[in-house]
Amino acid sequence: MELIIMTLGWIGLYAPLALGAIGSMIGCLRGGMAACGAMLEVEGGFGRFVGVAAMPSSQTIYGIVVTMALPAAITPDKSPGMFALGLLSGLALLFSALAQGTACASAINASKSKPEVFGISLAPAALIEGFAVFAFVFALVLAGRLPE
Amino acid sequence: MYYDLITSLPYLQHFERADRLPITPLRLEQRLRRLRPKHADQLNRARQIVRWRPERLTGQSDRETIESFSQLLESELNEPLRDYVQFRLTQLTLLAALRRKHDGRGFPDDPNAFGNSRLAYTIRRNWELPFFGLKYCYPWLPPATEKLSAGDAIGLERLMMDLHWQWLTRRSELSMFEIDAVVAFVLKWDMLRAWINGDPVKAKVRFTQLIDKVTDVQNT
Repeated sequence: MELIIMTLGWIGLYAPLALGAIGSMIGCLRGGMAACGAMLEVEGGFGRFVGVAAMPSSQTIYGIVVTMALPAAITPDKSPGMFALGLLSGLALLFSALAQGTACASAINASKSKPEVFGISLAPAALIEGFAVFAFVFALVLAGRLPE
Repeated sequence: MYYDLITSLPYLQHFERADRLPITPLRLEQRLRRLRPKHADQLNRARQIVRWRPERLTGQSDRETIESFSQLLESELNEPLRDYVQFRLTQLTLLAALRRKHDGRGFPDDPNAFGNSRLAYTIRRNWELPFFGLKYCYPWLPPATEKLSAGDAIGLERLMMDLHWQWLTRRSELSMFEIDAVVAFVLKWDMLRAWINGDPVKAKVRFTQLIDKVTDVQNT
């Protein structure tokens, strides 16, 4: 039984990083594909499309920080809390990266035909980033409240 | 998911406002090479049947047209394409019935002249009723009848094209980067092409340009 609990603790420790990275990969893929498609249609401004496509990479950074903030010493007392905190924050990062990838692709699609909307078209992606930051910050706060 | 394909396609203006095709046929074919083979095959088969003023349907009877649509619907099609084929067949059936009634002719002797769908059955049953009793299901029937009575062929064409354009736009908005959006773009592009090709003002300008060109060549 103790082994299972300890295993859950290890899963919780690595989940934010792993899930955040998976989300970033797929999110950047969506944005990157959209950027590559848009490059065929426009004459310039390729750099900003690639920059937008990279937005979902921040979730991996948040995942690294949460993983680092969780206690390195895993004990049966801490494991359930670490599992819940790590898994849920990881899932939040994963889904926010997926959604942000699609939002970035939409922004690229809109600004390709109408460059003047480039800034405002990024608002949905920025909002999603805000939700990811909420999940990240509160994961850090709660990591400090895990039982000693 | 077709993120790269969708973003590589230009914005399509409404057919009444557009003055040219935003992408050439050759370039469109190149871009559509990104489609999965299955989707590409389905789209190509459907375009031959449903596209606006398809050349191969010229001279076909209603029955042959229905047969073409039925064969297409029996084959494997993705959901958005199947929905559109069904939608197009419905509008064509109603328009054919409306034209026949407007000409003062009765329901054809062949009970399956408009196919054997539920809609065809309703048309047959309600032949004598105004708009076949379908005015509320298909609100475009009264304005279409008005245009038929007025002999306004272009107005009717515009009405029907706009109906299809709006339907495809709504469908593509449901899933922006899926096959739905690709299907909507290609079918709208076909409509735009048909509309631009049929523009008499443009035809006159083009004709004048060609005459000028020929005259210039002869003079030099």
